[in-house]
Amino acid sequence: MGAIPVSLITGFLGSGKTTLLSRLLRHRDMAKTAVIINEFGAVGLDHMLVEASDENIVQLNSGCLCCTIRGDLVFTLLDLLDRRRQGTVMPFERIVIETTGLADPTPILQALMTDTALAGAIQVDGVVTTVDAVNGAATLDRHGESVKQAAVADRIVLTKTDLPDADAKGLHDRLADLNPAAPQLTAVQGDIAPNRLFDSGVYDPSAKPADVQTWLASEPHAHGHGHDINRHGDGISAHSMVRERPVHAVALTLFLEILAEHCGPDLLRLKGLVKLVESTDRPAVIQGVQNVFHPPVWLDRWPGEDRNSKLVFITKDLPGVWFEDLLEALDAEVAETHERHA
Amino acid sequence: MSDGIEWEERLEALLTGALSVWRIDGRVLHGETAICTIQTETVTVKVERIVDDGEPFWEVTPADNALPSLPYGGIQGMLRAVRELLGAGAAESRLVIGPREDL
Repeated sequence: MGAIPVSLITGFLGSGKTTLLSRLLRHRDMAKTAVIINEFGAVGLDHMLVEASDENIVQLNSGCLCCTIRGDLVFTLLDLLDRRRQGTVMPFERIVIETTGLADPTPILQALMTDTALAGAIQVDGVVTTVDAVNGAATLDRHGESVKQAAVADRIVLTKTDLPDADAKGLHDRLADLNPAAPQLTAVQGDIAPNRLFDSGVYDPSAKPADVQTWLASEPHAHGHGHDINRHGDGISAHSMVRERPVHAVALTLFLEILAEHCGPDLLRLKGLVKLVESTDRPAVIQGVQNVFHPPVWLDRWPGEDRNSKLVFITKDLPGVWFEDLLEALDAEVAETHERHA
Repeated sequence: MSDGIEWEERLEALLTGALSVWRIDGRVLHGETAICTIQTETVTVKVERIVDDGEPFWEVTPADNALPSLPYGGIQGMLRAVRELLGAGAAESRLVIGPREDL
């Protein structure tokens, strides 16, 4: 059995997560999908609203996934996988987790990426975040959870764009500032093809170099320096770094270690395509969530003509320019060491 | 002996940003060579990049001399030492590498 892709659907209360999920599950491409729905409170409703085979829907209502029941999530996933092996549930080929509207997706991602019991059995496919085109801007103003949900998304789905009060254009621009790497899609009444949301390849960049190119090329502020775009009241910013000179592999490793050590939970996401001194024709893709990083993956080739290193950071209250200063200093230090030993 | 002017600028930028990352109010003063002094309300720490005949290293010195100067071979160790001397506590996070099977 290959690793089962696991996707998160998140989004603030009332942003259309359940509508989206319900509609997606009617699609024949989603027929072999297991769904985990996380709800606050003793009585859950969302699972009743999702039309799908009951046997493949698991309801978690003992609290919010992100803060109280990460262990429960892992247990539930392991139980689902075990039941699949035993043949007591349909042989699903995908798992979708719908979070509560107040969930912070980052600890959930961390749990999925690091739990040793799940390693090899699942692979993180990405985060889909719904944002309501009518209330989304006000929600971003008032609720830090919604900012974080949008900031860490791999796909953003604008909902309710058909309603008279919708402000899709204004919201689009704001979300692009907040998370320039995430493509923004529109779904009216949840109507969107599953392949636009899933199998995004963002956690498996070697499989889809074009997608890597998308999340890097969509960066509008790549002018060779960091760029703070902090308009959200929660200190969450997107910073981009473009670097022409290749980086020594040791310097990159030290860079990631120092980020993990000193930035920790304030580094919400990091994605990067890095040109290394040791491998200038094959860029390294790096992915991180807080202090959890995937091992770098080497692409067979650059996804386009542009061969500069590009890194996108989504952070909370961190000075973006420091990332450049740090990488520059580390690379200079490593280069000097190499020269002395040459 | 300290080395070049470029390290002076790098070090000042590095430490100034680090103070912000650590949420510490303070300022960074630089000397004529690769020496910077960090001053907070309660602590002063001197950081110097030393280059003599051997490998370059970083020296971190608390101004009150309560602790001896300590050498660090790289930026990573130097930053950790400065952070701890400034009272920001030990590093809170360690790098976790997710399972390769996830990819």
